[in-house]
Amino acid sequence: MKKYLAITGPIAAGIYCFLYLPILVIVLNSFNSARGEYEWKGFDLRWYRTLFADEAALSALQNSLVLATTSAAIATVIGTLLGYGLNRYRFPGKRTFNGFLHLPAYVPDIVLASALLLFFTLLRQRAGWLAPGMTTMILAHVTMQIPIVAIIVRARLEIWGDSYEEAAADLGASPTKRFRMITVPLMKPGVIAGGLLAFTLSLGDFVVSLFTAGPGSKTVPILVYQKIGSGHTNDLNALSTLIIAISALTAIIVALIQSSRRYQDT
Amino acid sequence: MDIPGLQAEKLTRSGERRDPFADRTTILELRGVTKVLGRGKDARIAVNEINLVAREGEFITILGPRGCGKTTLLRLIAGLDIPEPGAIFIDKTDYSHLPAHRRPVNTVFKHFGLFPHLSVSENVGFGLRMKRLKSHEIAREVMAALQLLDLVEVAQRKPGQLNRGEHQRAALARALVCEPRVLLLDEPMDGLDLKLRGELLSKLRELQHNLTIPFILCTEDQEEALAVSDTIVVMNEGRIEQAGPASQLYEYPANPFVAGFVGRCNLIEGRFLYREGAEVVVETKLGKISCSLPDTDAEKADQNEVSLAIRPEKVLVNDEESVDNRFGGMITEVEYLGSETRLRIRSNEVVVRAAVPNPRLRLQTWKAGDNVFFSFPPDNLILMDAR
Amino acid sequence: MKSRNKKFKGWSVEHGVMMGRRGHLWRSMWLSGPGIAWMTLLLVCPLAVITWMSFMDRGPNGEIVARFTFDNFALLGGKGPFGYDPSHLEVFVRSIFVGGVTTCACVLAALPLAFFMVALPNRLQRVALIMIAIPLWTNVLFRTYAWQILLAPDGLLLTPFVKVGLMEPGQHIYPGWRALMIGMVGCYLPFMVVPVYTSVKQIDWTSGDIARDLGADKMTAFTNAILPQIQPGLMAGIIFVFLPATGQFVIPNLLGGGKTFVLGNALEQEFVVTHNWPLGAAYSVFMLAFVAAGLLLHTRMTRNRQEREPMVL
Repeated sequence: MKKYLAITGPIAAGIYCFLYLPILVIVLNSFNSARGEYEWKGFDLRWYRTLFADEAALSALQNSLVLATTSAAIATVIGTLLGYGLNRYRFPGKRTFNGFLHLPAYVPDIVLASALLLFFTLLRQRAGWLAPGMTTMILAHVTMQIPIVAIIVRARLEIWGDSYEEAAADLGASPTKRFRMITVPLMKPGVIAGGLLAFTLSLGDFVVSLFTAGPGSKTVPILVYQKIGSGHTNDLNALSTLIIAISALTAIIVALIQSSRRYQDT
Repeated sequence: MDIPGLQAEKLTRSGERRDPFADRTTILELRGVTKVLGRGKDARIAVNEINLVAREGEFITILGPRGCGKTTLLRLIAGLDIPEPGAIFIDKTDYSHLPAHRRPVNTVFKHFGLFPHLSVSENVGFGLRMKRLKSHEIAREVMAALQLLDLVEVAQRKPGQLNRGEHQRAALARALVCEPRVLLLDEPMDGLDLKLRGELLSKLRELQHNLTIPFILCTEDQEEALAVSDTIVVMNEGRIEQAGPASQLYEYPANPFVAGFVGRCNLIEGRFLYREGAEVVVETKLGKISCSLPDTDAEKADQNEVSLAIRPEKVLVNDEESVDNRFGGMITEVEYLGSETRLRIRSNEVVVRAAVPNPRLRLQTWKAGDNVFFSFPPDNLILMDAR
Repeated sequence: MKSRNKKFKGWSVEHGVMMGRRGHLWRSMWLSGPGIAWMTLLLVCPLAVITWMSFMDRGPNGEIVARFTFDNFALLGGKGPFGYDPSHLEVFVRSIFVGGVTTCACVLAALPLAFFMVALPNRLQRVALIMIAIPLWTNVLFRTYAWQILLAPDGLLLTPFVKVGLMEPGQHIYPGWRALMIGMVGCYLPFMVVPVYTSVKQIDWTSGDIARDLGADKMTAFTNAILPQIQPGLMAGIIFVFLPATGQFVIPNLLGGGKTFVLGNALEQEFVVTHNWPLGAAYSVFMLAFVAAGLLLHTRMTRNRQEREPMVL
């Protein structure tokens, strides 16, 4: 295999450049003292200063973070219970439900977004519930996040099956103690990883947010989208860089948790 | 109740019952234990009406091919599955429907099942913590167990940092420290190299001498079974084929399966002809074979289709003195193994395996293609139902 | 004894807990219950509503009339009010074309990359994988908008081409097909790399050696012994890229310009701009059916193999 490194190496380098070029452009431009994005005029933090003076940008940042945190928290609780329940217990219609659980990963997000838009609008028109805003966004995001958390937690439980719980039962641990002393500690990395991924998923989403947002709940991607046409966007680069940094950080933490050897089966 | 082990004892020609555990207290008793695994179409009887008794200090090995139900049987004893129907008694108390955590039984699992998030000493102390022992008592007992199994140096490590031998000893320590009434070992040697197997086997035997509880070991490896156990239980397709001491199983297998599974064996099929006193004559492809039968087992001979079994080392080759059951044949294969030479002799479409000892200072004289004669001493032939 | 056994009939011990059907149901209700309720209310119901909407009619003023009709689907199929009108059909063809080309490009790029990653020492492999995960989780909008900057006529990327003479000054590829494809591949490549890498990592290389030992030449050994082992990952990657890519709307919108009107744009148009909800719903239902068919085909093809679903997360 190693002998092909000479061929695959340059290709891989090219692909990595291709993937990181857009991210790099945004990050560099956020530190670019030039107005406009096309030339480099030296390192400058002025766009970050403008950003922190800009009410709209700050409120978008706040909205993004509130949305991501709240939805991830709700999805982690519900998704963890769901992943555990699906792994352990039987109920009629489980196979069908499993199919629906995997659907959001494959369905284009615009379908999900338009379905939710339609659903929320009808609810508002018919029953007067749910004006578009933070609530509808949270509801929509949690719907996207629950499958991720549940699937990750369930996968974690599937890795070691029931062998450790059986061993604990054999050693005299009652069901409650088994759950507290064996299941919870072993499930924890999966729950943390699932929660963090739910958080990044929310930060990385644009389409579903756009369709379910209200006038007062603009998030960073929506703000950027609306301002793209209007020319100078250096301060938006700074805002995007912040979001990218948070996403990247969580992605790294998740990868480290998932590949950590400490909890792996032997 | 028809217990296959008892039949085998009837066959014992010496007439005496050699059961060193006859006067020991019974600790574990299984009565008609049955378990069906799977549902609907996939359902199969994994364990079929098993009766088994384990007595104080007895080392029982359950020997059988993969999928014969031995692991399921252990799980039933441990309480990880419930028998339907059947009853499990430990110290005369019915434990059939009590869950695992309320049974005084501990298991060394096939893949050890050491908790990956706890250190070795926490793993070993887990069972004691569940018994709500005081922490200094736990520490003392754990230390003793760790010393017993040479684990003191790795006490603070996580299972992921152990080698296979340490892993296995830690699993053993974790089970033993709980002072179970019965210790179950589910193929603990699976996937270990020869050296580690030997070490664990001698460790197990040593421990067993010092404790008065029965050990029940599950294995596919007959050598392992012959080496350590007081009683071997041969299982196949959910049933016990035969139970008894190693020597009994080897010398007097109850049926063709046991004969073939424990050691190597020649099986010659034939038809019952007639019987004269203790002498039975069977018609086979080789010719008429006479075989002496203990009086106690007379009814066996009335079957029409029978099998004759004889161990390769019991077959005499070119032995001038023997006159009974003598046949001529041609050697087709010679394997020189140092202590013995293995021969395959073809005679009248039947291939007979023989193992001839290699005496000192005598060169090997067997060659493929040689014509030889061989004989089956009537005492060493075992008559059984053909299956 | 007998009666006791009867009580436990059909019970099993799972995870060390003895339980019957009702035990399973009771625990499912408390554990899976909230998740099932949430997903039913906010995934199944909206999808049902949108399906219902796709069969509704519109009144003269554009208001929705609750009258069952197949008109919306007929319109998508080319039966316009003034005779044959293929504009909606063209949208489908264009979308599938965009999705297909993106998938092919991702496969071609992911294979060498996966082989490269596997050849790295273990520590670096993990770094390489994290390096794939970061763009995967970065907002698509930001990356797309960055391509706008990069591909601008005087932008960073095109200047070298202009200098070498491959392109004329002032010529631009954005907005247009080329920019669209670059953006799409950049967006979906990580989704392909992860499953393909997982499969490549599990390859049993000795089977290639065996094949060559049995007389296969290098190429045959690769196609017959190695490639089938990558197939599960490749299939998963294709499903993961092709289905969402046909419905992408941000990238065609920002990089494609007016000529690349695909399913995603059509949906947005009907829902946000023209407010023709029944028609938009029909588009959605079509896309849902498309995804369902793809997933069913995929499960059919992988059913016989006992493999864990490749984790893209």
